[in-house]
Amino acid sequence: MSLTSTNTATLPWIRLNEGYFAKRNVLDWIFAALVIAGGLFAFTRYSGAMDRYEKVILLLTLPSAIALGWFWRPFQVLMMLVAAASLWSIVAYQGDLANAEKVFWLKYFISSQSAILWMSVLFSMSTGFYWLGIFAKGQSSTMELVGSRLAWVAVGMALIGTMVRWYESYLLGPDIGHIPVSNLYEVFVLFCWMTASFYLYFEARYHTRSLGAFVMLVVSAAVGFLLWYTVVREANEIQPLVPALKSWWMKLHVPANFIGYGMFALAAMVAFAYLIKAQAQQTRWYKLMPLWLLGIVLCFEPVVFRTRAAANESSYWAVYFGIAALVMAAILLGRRRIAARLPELSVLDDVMYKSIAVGFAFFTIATVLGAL
Amino acid sequence: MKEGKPSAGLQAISDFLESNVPEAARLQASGVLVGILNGALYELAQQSRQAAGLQPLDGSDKTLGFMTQAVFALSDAQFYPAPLALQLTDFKQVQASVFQVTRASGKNIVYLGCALLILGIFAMLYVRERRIWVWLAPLQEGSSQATMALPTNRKTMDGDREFDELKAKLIGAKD
Repeated sequence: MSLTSTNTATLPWIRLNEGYFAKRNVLDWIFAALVIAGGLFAFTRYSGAMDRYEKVILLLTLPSAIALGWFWRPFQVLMMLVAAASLWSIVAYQGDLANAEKVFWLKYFISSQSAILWMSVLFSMSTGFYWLGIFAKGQSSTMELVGSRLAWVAVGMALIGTMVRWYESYLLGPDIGHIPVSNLYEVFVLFCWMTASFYLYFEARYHTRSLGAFVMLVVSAAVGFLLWYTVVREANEIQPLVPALKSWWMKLHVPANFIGYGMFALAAMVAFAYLIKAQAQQTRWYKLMPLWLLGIVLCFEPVVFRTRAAANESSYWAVYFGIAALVMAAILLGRRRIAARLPELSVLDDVMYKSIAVGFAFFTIATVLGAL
Repeated sequence: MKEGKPSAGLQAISDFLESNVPEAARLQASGVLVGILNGALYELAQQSRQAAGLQPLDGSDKTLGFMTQAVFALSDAQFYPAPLALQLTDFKQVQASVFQVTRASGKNIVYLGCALLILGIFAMLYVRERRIWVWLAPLQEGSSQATMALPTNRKTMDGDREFDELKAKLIGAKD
């Protein structure tokens, strides 16, 4: 006994984990300073236009943004670039909505419509590269890297589009302006970038890019819906809010809800990948049939939001399901190759657990907020 | 007489002309017939106004328009299947408002419950119970052997990674 005690006295202290603030580097503090400076500038300049709740929300946004950037450093870069591009766009608008058609950069890149179209294109391309990564021989990691980078740029474009759309809504008229989380078009953009950014986080956390092929598939399906909605219903026009939605609870309810939806969609696609990997050695087609049908059911996801199918629209959805069935059949045909590229089943299980845990928690918050 | 068509009105006159008048004279005959019809109805209107003690109609465009519409109305009345038509002559609007007032006396308890629900969900998902067991056994004079174990109530990869880190830091075990 005495021996042990003398030993502990001479032993140095071991620090098991570094403190939260000890882990910060110089860039973290610069980021925090920029966020606080930007937030306080917005507060001093626009506090006259905000009510009590909005002021509290703005002030709470500052520590949240810093915590998010500190939690995962790539978000710092993303936030800074999005802020810079949004400010650039606001300067380019010069307070006149007609500039969207006149100024080159606005017309082709950073007006909200252009940015969201770029997001759609980039997400589709990203999906393509992720799939190339699975099937290309030898070049897999390069293809997946390209897919991942494209997804990052797409998330950035989606965020820029959202920010600029927010500003554009105020250009239409001061009483029309609102945060773009209020109609189906806007929340689908939210869904796309939210799901993709959560996926990118898991990708970095688990050091595997091969899940991207599956997760980006559901993002692409959402993009397909978004494009259909833009072309057929012209839902991209900014409408004034209906009075029922003029509550600041809505502004918290919708994003919280879509964190939930995004995480559940991500978990569903990872689960599908899990089943594919588990069934990779199966050769009897009738045993693979349920998996194929399940895959097609997964593609129903955007259809849940489709209201009142008219006769002239049904051809689009017939084509959509035809393509979905073919894609799922192709995935099943290539199941051995896919299974070889996918990470261990235990990793898939862990990703699913993590994403459902986040989704479940935020869905609870959203449900409570929706009921208030 | 065709099936489904009324046996009166302008349609009946047209059918009569088609079946009884040769095609060459049909236009002239129909003009004459409609003229007689309109004239007779105009005279009838004047007589009925006189009987009711009203001013006679003047021959203005307004009167002609009214007469044309009246003839059409008489003709189209044949399409109306009911033997009588109801007409609203007067109504009195009654204003009413219905208010529903509810008072949720347990409101604050519900808010508290919501807060606790959210807190509980986060605690359930993110607070992990972990325990470290280190068993020291004497190996030889002056040294001992440490065996470490870590049970957790969530079987995730985080637990494994944490165990590996602690293993290296606490007892210096190498794989």
